[in-house]
Amino acid sequence: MKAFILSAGIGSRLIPLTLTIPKPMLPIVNKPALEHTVILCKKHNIKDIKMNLFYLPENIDKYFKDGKDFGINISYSLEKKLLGTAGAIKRVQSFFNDTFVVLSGDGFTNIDLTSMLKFHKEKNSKATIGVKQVEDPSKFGVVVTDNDNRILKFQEKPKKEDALSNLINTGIYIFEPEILDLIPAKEEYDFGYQLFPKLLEINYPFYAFQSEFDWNDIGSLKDYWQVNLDVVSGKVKDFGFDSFAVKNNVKIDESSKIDKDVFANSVGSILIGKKCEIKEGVKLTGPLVIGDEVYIDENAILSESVILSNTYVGKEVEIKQSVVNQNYHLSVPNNFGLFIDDDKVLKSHHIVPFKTRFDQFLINSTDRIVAFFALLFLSPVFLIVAILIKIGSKGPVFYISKRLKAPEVEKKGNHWYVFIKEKPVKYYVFRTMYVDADKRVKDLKNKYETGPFRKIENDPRVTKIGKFLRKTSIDELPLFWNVLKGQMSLVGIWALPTYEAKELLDEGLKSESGNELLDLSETAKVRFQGKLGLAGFWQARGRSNLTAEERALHDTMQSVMENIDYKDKQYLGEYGEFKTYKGYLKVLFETFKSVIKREGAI
Amino acid sequence: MNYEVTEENGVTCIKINLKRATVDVVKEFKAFLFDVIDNQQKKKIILDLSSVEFVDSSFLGAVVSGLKKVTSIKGDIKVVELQPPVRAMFELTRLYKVFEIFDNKQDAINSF
Repeated sequence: MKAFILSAGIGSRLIPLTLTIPKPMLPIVNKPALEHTVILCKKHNIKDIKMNLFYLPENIDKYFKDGKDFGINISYSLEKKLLGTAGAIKRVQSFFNDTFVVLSGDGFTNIDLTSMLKFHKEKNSKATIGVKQVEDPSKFGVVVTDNDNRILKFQEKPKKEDALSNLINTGIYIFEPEILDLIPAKEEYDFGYQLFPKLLEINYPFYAFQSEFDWNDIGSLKDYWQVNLDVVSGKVKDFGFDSFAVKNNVKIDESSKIDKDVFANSVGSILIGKKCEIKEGVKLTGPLVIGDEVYIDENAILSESVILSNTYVGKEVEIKQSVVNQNYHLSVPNNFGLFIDDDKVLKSHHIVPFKTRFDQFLINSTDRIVAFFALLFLSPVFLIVAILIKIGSKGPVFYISKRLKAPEVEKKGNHWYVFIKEKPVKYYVFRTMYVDADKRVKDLKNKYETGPFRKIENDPRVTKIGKFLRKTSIDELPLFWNVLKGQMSLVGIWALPTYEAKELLDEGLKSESGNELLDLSETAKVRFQGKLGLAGFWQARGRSNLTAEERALHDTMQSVMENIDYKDKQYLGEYGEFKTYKGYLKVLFETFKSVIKREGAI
Repeated sequence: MNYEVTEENGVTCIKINLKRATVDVVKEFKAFLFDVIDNQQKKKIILDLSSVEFVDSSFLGAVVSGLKKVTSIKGDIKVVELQPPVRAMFELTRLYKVFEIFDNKQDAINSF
């Protein structure tokens, strides 16, 4: 018998895991999901497999090649455009000359294909679906059968209350080859939405095979996490871990080095992959799946989690009920990824700067030189401004603004807490407000909507000369002093005062009606990883004409680009040059242009 | 047409027929999207990005602004068919936590 394995899936709901790994290659207990399906085929005497590929195809075909290593013949059908489940099989119609099986490459199952084939033959069926009972059928195709298991009705993804039964289609099919004549060629065609309704219309011999088996389609991150934990803790029948040595409940590859006390400290079912190193004082609590080449440093605590390959877990880091993405570098301090999110994924902030040292040297030098000459040439202007401020209103010439370099933030319940571990940096700017302005901020909030990045028209706190200074950005020119001192760069992210930083994280950004809350805290959090500076993406792009969200996004993107991993560069488009000296000059020049054109001021 | 609008089961699908959705088009896109939300009062919106090969922070900012508008009238914007570079941008800026992302339009329509 031959089999077709649908392997083109992208897996949007499994981002960020599926950014670099196609969904069928996501490991389940350290083997790609697709490999488990291939093993299942071999077990049931299938000799030839065809897989359709679309997303990151080389990833799959490099792993399986012609299938020899797996004891089975494997060939591929590379789709330039997704053809849908049925369309994919139609494309390789000539491959099938007898009864064949269709399986999904991104699911996990131990269905008994031999019994299913027997059932198919006994019923004289031409199309048989493997079905399973579930509690909530709303995400699946729902099947209604008569007493003889013949399918009477088929509903694709009905609402929970509309579902006619709780038997669902698992995407496992046995077909006779003539069914392919019912599928139109060279177009997108789907089993659930198109072919199955058609089969019912023409009264085709169409049956449902129901039996006890485990099945998971890894639809969401939570599903992915759960199926790994279920398999490692032995909840899936007929699943052996033959190639692992077993000590207590720990299954470990022999190439891994584990401190001997770790075994004494560990409980529950644990799987450890190849070439791992686990240091003293580490405490492991199962169910736990650890991939290949994972380095777990002293005193780390791991429980109920899936750690993908090539990961570093730092000293004393605690990971609980999480999926840790591959190539992850997890250590304290300086790590925002430590917060475990609802979707249980910790994502890499492993920083490999691709700014060369020479670029960095040029940037530092330019910062200092430009700042020095700017201060020198602007000193007459500063003198005049100082006199005007003194005449205009009572109070000092400069306003000292204390701003956070990079606040440490932590989420407790529904709120973000901002910790000030480092001393805030003192920024000298020209005073543009009356001396008691800070006290008025609170009263003002009742009258106007304020918040991060929000501006107030005709702010009563601002002095007359202040208004002019703000409009022309002259009030910020003394910041060149901070640049000269090396506290910030010319290009970087604007430093927010503490209260605004907290607001930005705490509420995300409030929606216009003020009551519906759109939680952008995740996006805002990224912002604080960027280095500080005077000019940035949004200052370069028209400044005050942007909405609050647009500014927040520009800051976030800038911070991302500042800290991005080299391997992601291929996707960055023009952002790719941001970290070079050329990119630095570009932002600087564009900001200068927009200041000159006075397209709104800070 | 840079923006192609279709209606299906009360869901408004906006297909963006641009290879690059960036600062160059953001002004007109923002005006277009805000018109759909403010004037046409559409609440269920799908952005089909299948033709888009690159997005920048200007475009993403405009989409988030639109999302903020639409959530205040209890609606939602969902995005479908992201190409890898676009997907990367949603991921890197963590907007994948803000938007529901789907592989195909039909799933997105059904999810409303």
